Amino acid sequence: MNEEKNPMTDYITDVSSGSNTYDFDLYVSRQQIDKIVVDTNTLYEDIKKRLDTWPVSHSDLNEDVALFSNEQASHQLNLELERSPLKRAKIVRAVRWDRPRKSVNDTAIRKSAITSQSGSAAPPCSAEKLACFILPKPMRDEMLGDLEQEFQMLCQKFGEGYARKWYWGQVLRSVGPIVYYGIAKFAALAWLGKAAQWIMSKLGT
Amino acid sequence: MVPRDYSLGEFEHLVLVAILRLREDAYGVTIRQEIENRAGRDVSIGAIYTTLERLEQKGYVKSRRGDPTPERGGKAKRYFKLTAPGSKALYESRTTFDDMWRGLKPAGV
Repeated sequence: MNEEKNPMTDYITDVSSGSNTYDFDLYVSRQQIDKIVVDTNTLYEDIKKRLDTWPVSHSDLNEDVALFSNEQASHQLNLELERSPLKRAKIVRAVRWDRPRKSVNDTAIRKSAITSQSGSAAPPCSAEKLACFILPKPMRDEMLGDLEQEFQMLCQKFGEGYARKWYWGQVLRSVGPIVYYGIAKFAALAWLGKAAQWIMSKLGT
Repeated sequence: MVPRDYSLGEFEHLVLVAILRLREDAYGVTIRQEIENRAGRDVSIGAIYTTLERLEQKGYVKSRRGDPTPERGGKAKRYFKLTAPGSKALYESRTTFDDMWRGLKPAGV
């Protein structure tokens, strides 16, 4: 393993020398862990060594613990986490302190947690919300399912960035046809209503 | 000349042919990909579904829901199938174009 080119090793080296340049979360969220050979023993030992000096105090841990759920990188950490809630608190606290401020926002971290937990990327949250808002109920579930299926396929083929752009593109391009469809349906109903009114008035006279 | 009752737009025609080609596996994703691969048109999933809804209202296609799958975030697929009036409309539409084109050859092709 070439240590100079391995970001995970660089991270470990930097952590032991006291620098906070690298961010464990980012490596997980970008799924770089899959591409590099991670020495889990070194990672584990390194964090474990440092834990002895960290104070333990944190309540909101569940989401962050998911950051460690990538099997390849943190199998041993997970075992330890399951065994001891105290250690779990320490590890999460340690990673939180190592995270450079303002480099990763909460949503991105949460997303990366979900990503690493399920082993697959999640579609962009706001695009999904927009889709939910514009889609009529009868076709909402099927369309969101179709979008997600293609999103996952594109993620594997071209990467998450491309897939996210594609997802946004699909949602934005769907607005036109769906709004037009809604207006046409409404117009047809209005026309039928007027026709019925006219017939009733004729019948009445 | 017998008037033809069934009228289809160009995109409706494309969607129906895609369903015909896909047989039992016709749902949003596959229909979109079939049109993209064969007709070279990158269409939005919204356009596909609104057209399918319209075709279903006309009685040209019918749909059924499949089982939810994990790769779709637990959401079910909606499979589409051509009905008899749909097949007839497709055939009529193609015949209309064939009749109009008979004996013609566009310049420069």
